[in-house]
Amino acid sequence: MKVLITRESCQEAVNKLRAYLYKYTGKEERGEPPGFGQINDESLASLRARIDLERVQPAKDWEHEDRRLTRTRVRTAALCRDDQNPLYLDTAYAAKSPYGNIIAIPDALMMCEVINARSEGMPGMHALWQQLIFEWDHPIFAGQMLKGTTYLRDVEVRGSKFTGQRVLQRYETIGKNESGQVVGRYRTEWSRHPRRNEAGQTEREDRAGRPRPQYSTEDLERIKAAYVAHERRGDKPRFWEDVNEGDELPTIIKGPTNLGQRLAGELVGSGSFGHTGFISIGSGRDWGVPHMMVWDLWEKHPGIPIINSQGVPDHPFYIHLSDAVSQIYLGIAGGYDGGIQRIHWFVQLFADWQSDYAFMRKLAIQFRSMTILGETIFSKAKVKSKRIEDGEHIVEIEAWQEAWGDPKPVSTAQAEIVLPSRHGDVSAPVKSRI
Amino acid sequence: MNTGQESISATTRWQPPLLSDEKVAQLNGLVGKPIEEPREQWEIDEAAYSIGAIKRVARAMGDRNPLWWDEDYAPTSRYGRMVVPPGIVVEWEQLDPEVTALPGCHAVLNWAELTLSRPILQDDSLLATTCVREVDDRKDPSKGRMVSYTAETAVRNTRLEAVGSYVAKWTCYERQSAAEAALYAGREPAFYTVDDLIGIHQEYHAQEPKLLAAFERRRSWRDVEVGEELPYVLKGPTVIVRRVHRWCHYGMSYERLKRWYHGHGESWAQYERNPELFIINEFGAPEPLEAVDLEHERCQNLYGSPGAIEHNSERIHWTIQLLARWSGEDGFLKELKLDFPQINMLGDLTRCYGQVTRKWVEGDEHLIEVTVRNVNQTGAIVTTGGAVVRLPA
Repeated sequence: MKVLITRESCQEAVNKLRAYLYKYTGKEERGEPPGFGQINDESLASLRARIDLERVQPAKDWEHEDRRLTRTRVRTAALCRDDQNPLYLDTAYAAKSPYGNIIAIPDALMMCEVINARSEGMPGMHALWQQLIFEWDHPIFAGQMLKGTTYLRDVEVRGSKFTGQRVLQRYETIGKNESGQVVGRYRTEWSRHPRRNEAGQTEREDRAGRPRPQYSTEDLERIKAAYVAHERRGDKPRFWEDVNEGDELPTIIKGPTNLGQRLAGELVGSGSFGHTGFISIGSGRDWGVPHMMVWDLWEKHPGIPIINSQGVPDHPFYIHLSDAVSQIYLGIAGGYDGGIQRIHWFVQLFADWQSDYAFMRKLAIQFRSMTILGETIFSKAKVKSKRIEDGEHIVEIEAWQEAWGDPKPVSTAQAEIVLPSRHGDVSAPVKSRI
Repeated sequence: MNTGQESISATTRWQPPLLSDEKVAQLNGLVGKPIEEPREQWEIDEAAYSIGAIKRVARAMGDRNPLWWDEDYAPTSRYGRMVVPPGIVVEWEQLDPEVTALPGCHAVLNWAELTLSRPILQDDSLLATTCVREVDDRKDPSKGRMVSYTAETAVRNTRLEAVGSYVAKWTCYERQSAAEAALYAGREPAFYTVDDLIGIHQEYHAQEPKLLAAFERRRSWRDVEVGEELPYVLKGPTVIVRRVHRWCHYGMSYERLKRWYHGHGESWAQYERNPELFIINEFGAPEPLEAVDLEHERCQNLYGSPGAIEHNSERIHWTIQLLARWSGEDGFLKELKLDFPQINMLGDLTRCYGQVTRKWVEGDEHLIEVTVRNVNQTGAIVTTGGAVVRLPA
């Protein structure tokens, strides 16, 4: 069986296919912009000219309707992230909660982001998602349709140990429901840098030697026991007065990850491609085209396809699914995660601890490293501080995620949660926001 | 969750699941009993085929027929709204051969018969009942056990009008058996050079205008000549990301959704309920069999097979694409019968051909018989069959 298994042979095929597509589409005559794949004055000026421009989703009515957070969609999103919180799934349970109705996973707010550095600016440069911040004003209910407005807020050049320079792009999205109410703000920060440094190394090549897990029977028993032991606080309120600085939250365990789960969690659960977390069809994010239709995508963006071991062009997303392709193209140990699930596992970590009577109003997450297929992920947290502000009883939480066998955090997070007080209305943190 | 009493250590060494007498007896017990996944009314309502849902189905099949792809054109058509690709009937089979019929087997679709009675239109929601008709149990000590069964699925809309029926014959193999190995018949994964890809790209651009012109022609029965060749449809080379497009949850019952593999915590309960649906993967951890079938390398390493096999049922959709592009807005596919003499492997390129072999009038219906075949990149015929299409006089 003939296969492509070296970086050189795959890259040669990719380059040849791209050259053909550039020529076929006439893009060759226009050529790549000067400084393609590099940081230069022209690309920076082009990007900075877009700062504070209002960006809205250019979608038809049916496309907006198609993004409605139906109960089916909320259920799929929750289950694919391994979250069985009945507030997302069980009508009768949700009706008795302070919400009174089924809610969407709070991270659904991210579907409002219209554009980010994955598709904007610095052509030919890698886009690494570094940080995201949610600020929720109101809960998001099943049945709602959210629309967003996104702004590029900042473009900053910084030094990089790896490539000399990098560019940070920061975005802010304001998400509204159908009645025009702002449900929250969502900010993302991206690092743009050359795909390879002068030595030809990729940013992630230091992960090449990361050992792959090998689970013993005892390991699996321990993982299963952790799942079984996990408790959701649910309808038992956690009062602010009962929380102390330094308190540890029950750890959430996820994994062992594998290819089947990655497909469920990041593709089926997230809908189509793109990181919006929900199915989006039409618009520029519609990469989900197979068979001959995919050639139209390749013609539009000749730089997108990679070549798999059978010589077949495929979406770059395939890198998340294939050890072989990750090793070939990025020089890392195996298929790495897209981050979608890690975000939700932080949300779940807090929601399962805080009870149905609390409201998470802010969550910031920093991606420090990737996780690789096969790893088990632990989400851990402790109470950093507590305070009363404008009559609300707030706790600040510090959290982090570790991958199997490596205590160095792969992500860190900070959350602010409004808890009920023993001296007030137990439902106030939620009901005051409905 | 189900904590289970069974120790993981008892099952960490993966053994190919066998088609036991008990499993076959359970399947026999289903004969003649209608199976319909229970769904709540809101689930049925939300499963209605919206524009977005129809386009997702079309996209999953790679089918740009304007009736199910162009939301601006379809309302101007005779249907007045978007149409759901009729092959969707196939997706409503209520019994999953590898999960609920004979758990852990490798099921291959041998043949399929589709009979359609009315179009499925935008905003329709569907109901379905599947009935196992017969079970054929063959034991051969040298090849392993093979169990075949036919299942008939009747699909209706929520106005309780029948829209179509689907009869499928499945043969279920024991994994790693000699009988399963024979399915490959010397096949190995295809390989494409960039020059091959350029040829495929150019073939696509040569073929697409012919398909569009065929659709726009508004063909009537008297225009059709026996012997006429339909513009062929080109599919593939297939990749795994594409397969995910088929895994949409719309229309699924909660019961069925809970059987889906989502991984992490819930998967332990699934694993304990049905360990034979899992393999112990390269990390020493349980993972569903289905996920192994996604990569040639995993099939080779974990099963020792030549590579990953595609689902034959996709060729039903591809053949409908061929027929519907040709018969256009005024044509209606009444019947489709397909045999699948060979497997497709991941990465295969398939050309779907059709030729008019008969035309006749039956009552007030003007009918055309089209003989179809699918040919893979090696030149092997992987699908044969025929269709009956109704055209205006």
